[in-house]
Amino acid sequence: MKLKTEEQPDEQLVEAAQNGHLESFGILYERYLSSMAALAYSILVDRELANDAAQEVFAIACRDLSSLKRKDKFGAWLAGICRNVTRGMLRVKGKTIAPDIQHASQDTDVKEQRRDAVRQAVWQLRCAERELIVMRYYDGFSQAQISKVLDISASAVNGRLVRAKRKIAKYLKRNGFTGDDYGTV
Amino acid sequence: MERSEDKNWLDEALTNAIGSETQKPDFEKWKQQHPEAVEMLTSRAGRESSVAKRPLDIWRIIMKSKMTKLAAAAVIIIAVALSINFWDKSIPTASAAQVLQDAINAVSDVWSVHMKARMRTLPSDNFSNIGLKYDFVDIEMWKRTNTDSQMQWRVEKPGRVLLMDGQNTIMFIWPNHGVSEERPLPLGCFDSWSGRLLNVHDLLDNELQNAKNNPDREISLWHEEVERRDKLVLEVEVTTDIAEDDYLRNKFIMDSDHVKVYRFDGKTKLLEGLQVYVHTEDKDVLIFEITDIEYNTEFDNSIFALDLPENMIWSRESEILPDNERYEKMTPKEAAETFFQACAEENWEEVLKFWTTSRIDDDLKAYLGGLEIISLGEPFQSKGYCHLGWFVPYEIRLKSGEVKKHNLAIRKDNPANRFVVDGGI
Repeated sequence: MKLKTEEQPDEQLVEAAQNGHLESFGILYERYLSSMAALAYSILVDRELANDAAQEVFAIACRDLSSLKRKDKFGAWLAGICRNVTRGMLRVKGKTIAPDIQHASQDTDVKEQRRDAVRQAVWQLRCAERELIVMRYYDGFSQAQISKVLDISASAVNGRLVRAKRKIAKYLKRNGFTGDDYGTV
Repeated sequence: MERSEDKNWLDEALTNAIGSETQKPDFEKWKQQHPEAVEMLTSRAGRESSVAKRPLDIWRIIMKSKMTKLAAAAVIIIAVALSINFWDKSIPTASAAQVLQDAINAVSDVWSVHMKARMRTLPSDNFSNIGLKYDFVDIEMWKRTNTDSQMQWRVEKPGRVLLMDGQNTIMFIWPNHGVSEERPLPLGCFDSWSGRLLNVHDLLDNELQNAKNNPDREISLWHEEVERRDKLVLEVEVTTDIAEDDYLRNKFIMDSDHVKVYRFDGKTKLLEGLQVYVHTEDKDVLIFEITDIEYNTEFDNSIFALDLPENMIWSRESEILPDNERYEKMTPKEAAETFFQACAEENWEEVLKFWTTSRIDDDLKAYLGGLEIISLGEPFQSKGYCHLGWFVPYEIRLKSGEVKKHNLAIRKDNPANRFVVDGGI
């Protein structure tokens, strides 16, 4: 987990970076890189491309940082850039959001089938819920950290997580996967 | 605790499926790969500068991925031909409140609104009723301030029209039923949820006030680019206090957990669309969608007039009967039984005591006349219905032989204080 909330607040770092202090920007980079990769992955469904997108998000942020007025909203501002970058890349890829899944053959390992089913369930969620689930499980971000990036309250994160997970569990159940057999195969 | 109820397995499954080995941040390497960006930032030291924007270095990203090289080659030909530059912008996240305020300001001088929408509802049922499995029904709505500074509006779906012509308000229910008020009623009257949307200013102002007063409310905001235009998308989560097992749950938008997805134009700030998704246990169901909005267009005067059939049957207020006390004392179940029994006996004078129109329609007589009561269940109430309203489960056999099982909605919030039928037939 890379979002270091216990250190200098974003506002101070942003202000320093806006005044040309590169080290401050470096701290923000380290703080948010992983969350941007997670967010990009929720749209691109391609880890390598998501990592590249995350790097590019910081190039744009570095270039346009002076336009950021609400310094306390740096995470959300980055997320906006990230969505824009990834959607642009999606267009170039010429595909819509869909899990990159090889449909499991009969011989495929049951664990792999379940993994595919989980991914399918996640990519059937609405965009806002998918972003949240991916951020939560991509790198284990806390509710507070997700709240900062998605710019919604921690309790809203919680409510949306519960709903999204309920939908995923339902989807898995319909496809023959429940908690009963989890860990036994 | 049973394994299936222990959701830890789901956390584990999600981590297995989505979890990733973290990309270790290497700022030094990033600096080497982005010298121009670094130069722009460090050159600001000690001064305010305006930053010239340049297109995103998308090529480096794409060409690093083998998967996308071929696709990119194909797309570039089309993109160049269309002179598309998708990436020549980076958009700071605006706050939801600012977006709403901008949208409110944008409609401050709007004098007419025309909306086309679709909703999962029944063509002739009221404008708020929804059903997760219903087909979509088209809705069209108009509102204008006319040359006499008088507001007029019309909300229409295939089986129902709600019209306020500046003086009177009429609801016409196909083929010949109507409710009339000799005064201008506000949009939203007669339970017309969709009608309220025509008051774009108030709609957005309500959202703004809600956002300010409920900081815990779930609101998300992001940008999208559609046909090279920047769009702002605002999602507002709404949670109902109606219990999951309540009869009216998910029968009206306000009695459901749902999300409203507003779309605004990034340049004009005008509201361009709204979608409403109802949350169910395993999916979100699109229940309502504005498909088109036009502002400040001229309408023909005929939009705000209705040609009514000659044989209209009008709704009326329940009057106090000579033997009103007998009906006042009825329990919900007794009222339902008396009503159905009167239908069975084709005693239309008695039926009329439970009906809110001036006479009983011939179609209704043909439908309910001679029915047989199979059973009546225990009445129940819903938090989403008026506190003097009840639902009485019933099963009847119609003269046609068809067996109908449903809940009769009856309410006694009227001057006569006796139950009248409100729905469920």
